[in-house]
Amino acid sequence: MKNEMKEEDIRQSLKSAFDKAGSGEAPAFDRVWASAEAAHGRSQRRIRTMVSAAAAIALIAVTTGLWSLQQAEPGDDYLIAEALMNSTLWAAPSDSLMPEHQFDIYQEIPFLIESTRSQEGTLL
Amino acid sequence: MREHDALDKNPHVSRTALEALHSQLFGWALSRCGYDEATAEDLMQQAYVELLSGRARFDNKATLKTFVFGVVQNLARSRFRRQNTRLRVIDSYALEQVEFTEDDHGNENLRIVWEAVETLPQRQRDITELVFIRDMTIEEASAVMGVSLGTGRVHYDRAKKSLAEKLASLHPKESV
Repeated sequence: MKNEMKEEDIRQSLKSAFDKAGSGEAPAFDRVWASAEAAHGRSQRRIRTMVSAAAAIALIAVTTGLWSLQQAEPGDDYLIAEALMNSTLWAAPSDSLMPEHQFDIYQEIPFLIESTRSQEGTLL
Repeated sequence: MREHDALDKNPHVSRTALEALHSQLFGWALSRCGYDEATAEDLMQQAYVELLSGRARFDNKATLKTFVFGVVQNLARSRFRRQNTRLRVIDSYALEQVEFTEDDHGNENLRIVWEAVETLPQRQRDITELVFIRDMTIEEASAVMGVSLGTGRVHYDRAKKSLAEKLASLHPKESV
């Protein structure tokens, strides 16, 4: 009981002190609320503008991409079976490491070093 | 049940309920910013924006009062995190801003009480305000402060003990 009394005294003293400290009137709720709604509206508009701008940029990028795909000539990506079967052109993947790659082995026969020495009837 | 003026992005919060809490919330916002009224109003406006936008979403698990006080507390914390020095300066002047004239005996007592509150560590001061002035339970106050109930109880007990000692001179009969 004695403890409760003490607590109540503290409460009363504090209430008075805090009332005095925060004695300024709270601003009208309507005014603060209206400012908050206006700020919220501004932020919403800004977000909408940014989303619209992003959507427009994405649309332009997709349109440009599609247009450039349409414009591009069919490249080496497409293999024509008939041409492939008649071709004598062959290149080893490692040829790309050579200075001049993709040579036609039927047209451009490389110089082969032949041995002319023989031993027991067999060319060395 | 959704009230007629419930917020679009916060269906459990109504404008009427916020209006009912407005004065108390202003008191709490004031103490968060060294009793600077303009900053407190700005803080409240920001809190309302958070509720309107749904960034601070009330799920009806605690009381609306606890939730809204927590929103103000968090906003004040993040706003002043990088302005600790400024806040300390404001704090040191807060007592001077509160005009307690020493001529009047009643005000002299208030000044003693206020000084006793000012000497408490921040968290003890916060829980004292929430429990004694804003009529919250220790559990609610702990939720607002973002500490566990156990920690809240410790802060509360220490604050009460400290205040009882410092204010003993004002209530000599009870303190004996």
